[in-house]
Amino acid sequence: MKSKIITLFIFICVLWSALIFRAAYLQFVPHEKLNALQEKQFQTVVSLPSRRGSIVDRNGKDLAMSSPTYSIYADPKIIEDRKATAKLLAKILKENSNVVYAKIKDKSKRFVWIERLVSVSQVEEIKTFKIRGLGFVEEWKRVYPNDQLLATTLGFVGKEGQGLEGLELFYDEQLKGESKKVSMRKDARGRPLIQDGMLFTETPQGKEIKLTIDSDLQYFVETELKQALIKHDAEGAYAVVLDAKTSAIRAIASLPSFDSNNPAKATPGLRRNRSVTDTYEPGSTLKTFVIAQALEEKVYQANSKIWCENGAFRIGKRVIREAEANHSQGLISVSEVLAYSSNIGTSKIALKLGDEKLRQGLMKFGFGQKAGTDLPGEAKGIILNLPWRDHLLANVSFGQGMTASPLQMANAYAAIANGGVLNAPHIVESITDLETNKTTTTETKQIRRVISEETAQQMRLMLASVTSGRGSGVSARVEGYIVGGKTGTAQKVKSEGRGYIKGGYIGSFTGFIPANDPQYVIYVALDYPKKGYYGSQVAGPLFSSIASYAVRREGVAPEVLGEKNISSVPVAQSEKTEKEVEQFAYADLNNTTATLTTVPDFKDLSIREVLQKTANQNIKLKMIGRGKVEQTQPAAGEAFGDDRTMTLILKE
Amino acid sequence: MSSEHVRQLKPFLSVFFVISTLFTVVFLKMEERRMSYVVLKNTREFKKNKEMKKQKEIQLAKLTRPQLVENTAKQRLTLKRATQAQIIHLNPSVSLSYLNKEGRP
Repeated sequence: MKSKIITLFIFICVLWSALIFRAAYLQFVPHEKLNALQEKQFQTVVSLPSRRGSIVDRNGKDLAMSSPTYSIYADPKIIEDRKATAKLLAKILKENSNVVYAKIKDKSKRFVWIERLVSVSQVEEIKTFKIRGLGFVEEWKRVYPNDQLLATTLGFVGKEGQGLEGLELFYDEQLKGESKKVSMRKDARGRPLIQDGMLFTETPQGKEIKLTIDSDLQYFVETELKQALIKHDAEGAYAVVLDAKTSAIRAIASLPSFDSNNPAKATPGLRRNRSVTDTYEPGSTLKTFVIAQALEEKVYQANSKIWCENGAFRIGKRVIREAEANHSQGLISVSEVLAYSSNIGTSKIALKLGDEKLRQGLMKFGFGQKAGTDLPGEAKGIILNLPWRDHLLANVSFGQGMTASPLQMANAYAAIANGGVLNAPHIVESITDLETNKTTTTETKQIRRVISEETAQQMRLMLASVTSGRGSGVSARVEGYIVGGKTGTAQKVKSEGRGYIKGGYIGSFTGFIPANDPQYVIYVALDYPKKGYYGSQVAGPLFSSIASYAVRREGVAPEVLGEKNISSVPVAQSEKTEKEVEQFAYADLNNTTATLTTVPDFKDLSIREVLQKTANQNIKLKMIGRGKVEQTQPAAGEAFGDDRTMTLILKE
Repeated sequence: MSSEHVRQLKPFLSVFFVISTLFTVVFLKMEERRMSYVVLKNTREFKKNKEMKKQKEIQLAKLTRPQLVENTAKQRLTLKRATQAQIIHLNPSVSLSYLNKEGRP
């Protein structure tokens, strides 16, 4: 009996041991199939789509941002009453019910998109009906709150959220971020459970891009371009505003433009950032660089005299003429060649300089090559290979036979404005990783020194003379500031065949403000204007308006012209003395009003009128009350005191 | 209580201790699960609020866009853009100060 009990005990022990061994085997020895089964039963994979990073301007204003939305899909086989469902969905989504029904009527399909990028509120409403066979995918919709503002530069994204054009395309990798997939335990109802004290709360984010653009200035530039476009009945308008010191892009526009929220409505041509991607013959704005190169190479001095042939200069079989017959010049200085925009004068300078040095000089200023900007589709322009025949050399000297983009032209002027260094223009100020809060700032990239500081200073003074006196760019002046720049009127090349379009011009102005300490370089152009076409006529006033706004917005104080504002580098004009040169350059800006010694009668004038009359008079004004001037201390007719203080007593 | 009594109670105490430990563990597990649902609910709420905040930011950006501000100023407030003649260029030689009725700044 005892042996039977022992046998039974051993048998049970072996059985239990086998059971425990099997359990331990299943528990501790890795087994792919079992692991997969377990994971399928208890684990769920939660997909966290990445939110595309925002694009903001230099003041943090949003230019492009992502809004949470949902896309609705359906499994038509599961939907019970497809007609009723289609009717309900159509009502909420504000669509035609037949269109929705067409999507779900085929039972054999197991997946169809009902609608992409639907608002959260609409989805919430649909969810309340608990329709079987409908599913929702969380996605992000790109929103451009300013509609058309900076559209050609920002570009746009596709329905899948991928960058298709502009900065959205160029910085797609940084903006899109990385979607995350988190594996979590789930309960019997499929709800994710807390794991290691953690639950996903944060949506992965793409990087935020801060631009150098000032959106208010950009808006002003675009508005002015639009008005000019209508006023001159032009086909297009371009503008580039650069920071003179760093070549950071403060505003850039190509009109007509499009709405980034609805890019499909625009033609591909309109979606291009034409200030960067398109090149054309620049016209007279190029003369600046021919003269700068001649001064740098010491081929000419600013006061060297050039015989301008009274308006007709023969090179071989061809005759070079001035833009207009009444622009004919005789013996004038190099400074005057620039101020009066003489084609013959510039041709002669170029001929003396030679094709090799001229081409080399233009290449140094960044023409015919990419500057390495962070904008997509940058064009490099055309500069023909050597040798150049004399006629081509002359043509190039006044901006024909070569092409440049608006951005290249503005950047080349920036090299003169900043003292002779060519910088790479850039539009991205910084990129911030919002998950690590690490910010990468774009440093100014110096490409090369183009001309000496002294030549740059001479050029600035010469360019200031273009907007003074009899200069060709007087329409670009800004009251209270010294403006340097050059007009350009380029013939428009035929898109097919050789030659130029009859009556087709691109009028432009490129300049900087204030000329004595440049803060901004501004390029403006009107493409094929029908009402007027000279650069001075169509682009000069546009420049003036944009420049005026830019300096006031930046808080640049107007200048009191005096010795300190005027270059120390002597730039003589023909037979004029240095003092006469200064007077010539800034003649119309110099304050020639006599200093007031006695108090004028200001009675019944507004503060605005008093301020206008006392500008540049070195008077300290004190005001009491509001309204118009009742009386002054000292009284009208009395002499000013030594401290030149005047108190205005105002009355409403 | 004599040592004999304690000795007799020991098995019951052991069983009680084991059972109460098991119950405590189960209770804590249930509590953890319950709290995880609360966290899940709050997380969803938090996410929803974040989405709403983003929506508000977009609305704000749309409301403060320069086009709208200018249109409102022109149409509702009947304001006009400043013309060049209206701009007074004050330079460093002009100083302005407002005084009160007693002539003090």
